[in-house]
Amino acid sequence: MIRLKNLTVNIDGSRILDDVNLIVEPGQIVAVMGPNGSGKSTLAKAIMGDPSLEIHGDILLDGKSLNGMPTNERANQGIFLSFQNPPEIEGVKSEYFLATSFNKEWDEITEVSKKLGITPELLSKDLNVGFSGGERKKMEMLQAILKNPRLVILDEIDSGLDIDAVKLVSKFMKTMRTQNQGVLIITHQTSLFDNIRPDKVYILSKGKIVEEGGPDLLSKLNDFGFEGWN
Amino acid sequence: MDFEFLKERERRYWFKSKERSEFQVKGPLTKDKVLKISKFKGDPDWVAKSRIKGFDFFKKLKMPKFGPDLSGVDFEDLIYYSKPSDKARKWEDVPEDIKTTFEKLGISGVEMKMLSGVGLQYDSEVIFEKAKKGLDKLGVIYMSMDEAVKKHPELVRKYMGKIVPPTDNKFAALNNAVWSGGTFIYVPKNVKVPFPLHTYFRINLEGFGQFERTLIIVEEGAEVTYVEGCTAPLYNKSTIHSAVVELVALPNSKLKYITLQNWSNNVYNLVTKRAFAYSGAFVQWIDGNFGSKVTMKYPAICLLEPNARGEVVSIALVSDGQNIDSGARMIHRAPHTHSNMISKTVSLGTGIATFRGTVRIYSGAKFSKANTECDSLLIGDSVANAIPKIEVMEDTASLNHEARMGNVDKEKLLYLMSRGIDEKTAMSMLVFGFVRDFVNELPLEYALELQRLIEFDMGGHS
Repeated sequence: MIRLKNLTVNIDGSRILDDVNLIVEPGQIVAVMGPNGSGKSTLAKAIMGDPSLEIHGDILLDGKSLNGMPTNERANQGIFLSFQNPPEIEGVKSEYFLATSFNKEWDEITEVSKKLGITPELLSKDLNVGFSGGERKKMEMLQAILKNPRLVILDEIDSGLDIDAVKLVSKFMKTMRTQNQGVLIITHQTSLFDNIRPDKVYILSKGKIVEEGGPDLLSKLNDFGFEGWN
Repeated sequence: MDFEFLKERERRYWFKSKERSEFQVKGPLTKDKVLKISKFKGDPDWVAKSRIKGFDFFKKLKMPKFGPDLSGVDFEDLIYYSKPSDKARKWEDVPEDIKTTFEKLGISGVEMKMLSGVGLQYDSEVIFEKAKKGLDKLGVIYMSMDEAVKKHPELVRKYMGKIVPPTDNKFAALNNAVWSGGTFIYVPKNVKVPFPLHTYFRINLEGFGQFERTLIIVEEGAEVTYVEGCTAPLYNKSTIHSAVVELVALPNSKLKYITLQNWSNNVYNLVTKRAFAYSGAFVQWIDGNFGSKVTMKYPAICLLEPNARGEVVSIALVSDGQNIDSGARMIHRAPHTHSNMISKTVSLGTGIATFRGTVRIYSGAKFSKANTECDSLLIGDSVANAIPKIEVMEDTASLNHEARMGNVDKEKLLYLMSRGIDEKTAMSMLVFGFVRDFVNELPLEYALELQRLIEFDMGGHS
């Protein structure tokens, strides 16, 4: 489904990602694990085509290169990025944003919101403005579910979420898997995988993939932490 | 960014109208020509005299020593007065592509017809007649200034030229000499006008003339909202628009004056606006600037008696080749007076947006409070300036000033685009969000039009 081939990314001349190779097949849940500052969020934004990044190498979706494609078109090709730090969008009401930009029926929006514990009051506020960390993540989940993308990239989705919401994230990933869609989950902790085993794990350190393997890598991580790869 | 749409806007919306004129006065301006205008209009004596006084000061006063370059204003070559032909053009005669684009912009039928210079004798008359019946019952006077100097000389004389005297500045003096058209509103004691009064309620087209003169008097405890202009582009055949607006808010009254300025990009828009707010009165200037080549406009509120309040909320949307120099002036002359100034400017391309905010708190204006906030959003290589001037001569006064300036937040743009929204739409969402404070002050139909205007300016049109 998505393939990163020799992906190298610079920001203002300094190298953030170095020759990264990564594959997510349909129906797979793939984890990218790494400590803070290892380049995880940059990886997510590179796939989304952030114009502020200097990108070398290839990002292929179903074998076709996404190089040079604007972010919104990548989104329309079925890639969804759940942001680690969703920004505040002043003057744009959440419910208005969901109804117009997502083109969804109001019933569906309220139903999913309810499951996620998003109150109508929150929906009536400007998008992410004054939201707590957890509320922002729930709003990202709500949008991911409504978009029903082919590939979802979840960047530190679990930080700030309560147990019920984390369960919902797991459930969402399972659904994605059964629908033969892809999940690329970026995180620095293993707790999210208590309920669901990833198919593949990549360890990212200082911009490089230092190890790749099956879910067993998680127990190694739990035992030794990221220190083992330094 | 691609600014092709600006040329498109110019070509399509600022179309020239072929107006025939029965009577015209061209520059260079002389005393005789001023008297000729006065005679043609059938002014009362006191108006004629006041015009001469205006002319004398126009000759005497110098051009402003600050702000944008005004060397393009050629006083010798201006048309100072022109009576529009009574023959209205027919809606059917308006070119098809202009009609279509009006529709695309979502301009209401009434405004559409007004803009193309037709229809006022039809639709507007009906609306006006309806509104007028209600206003008559309340004792509210709402007419053109030309009519008011003849029908209500005692009321007009008491205030006209007292808030903005002809000595104020060169352009106010010029207006005093050659003014024509504009609005007069008088709201009697304790009357609350239940709907906003719109310019287009008035029948005569001269309301959009180049030297209009407006006076609004709100008696004790009375309330009114006035909306001037519209969000749709307006072509002015002359290159100068120099209006004078005077507001009088008597004790405990409320007066809200909304301006939506969208002159075509050949116009020098040089306007003097000032309000007197008496004890406990609340005056608001809600000021939107979208068009013109050069604008100089600083709505002022003089807080003359205790507990008077003033607020100016302004936005400027400045694109290629435009220089909008706007702001506000708050003059605190009495104890416990409050002022609030909020400015948002958005500049695109080679546009220059300058905000000048003056707060002056005189000695004795005890416990007065002033707040000023100025935000600038820059898109492309545009320029924005914020020039605050704060003079406090009273120890017990308190003051807050904030200024922010920045580009469109790239992270926000990426975020919106990552939801599948194209760049131009995402940009106009962010800009619209940025000017939200202003939008909230507008009647709903104007808020919707403004949204379309922003989308249009961002290129959402294509």
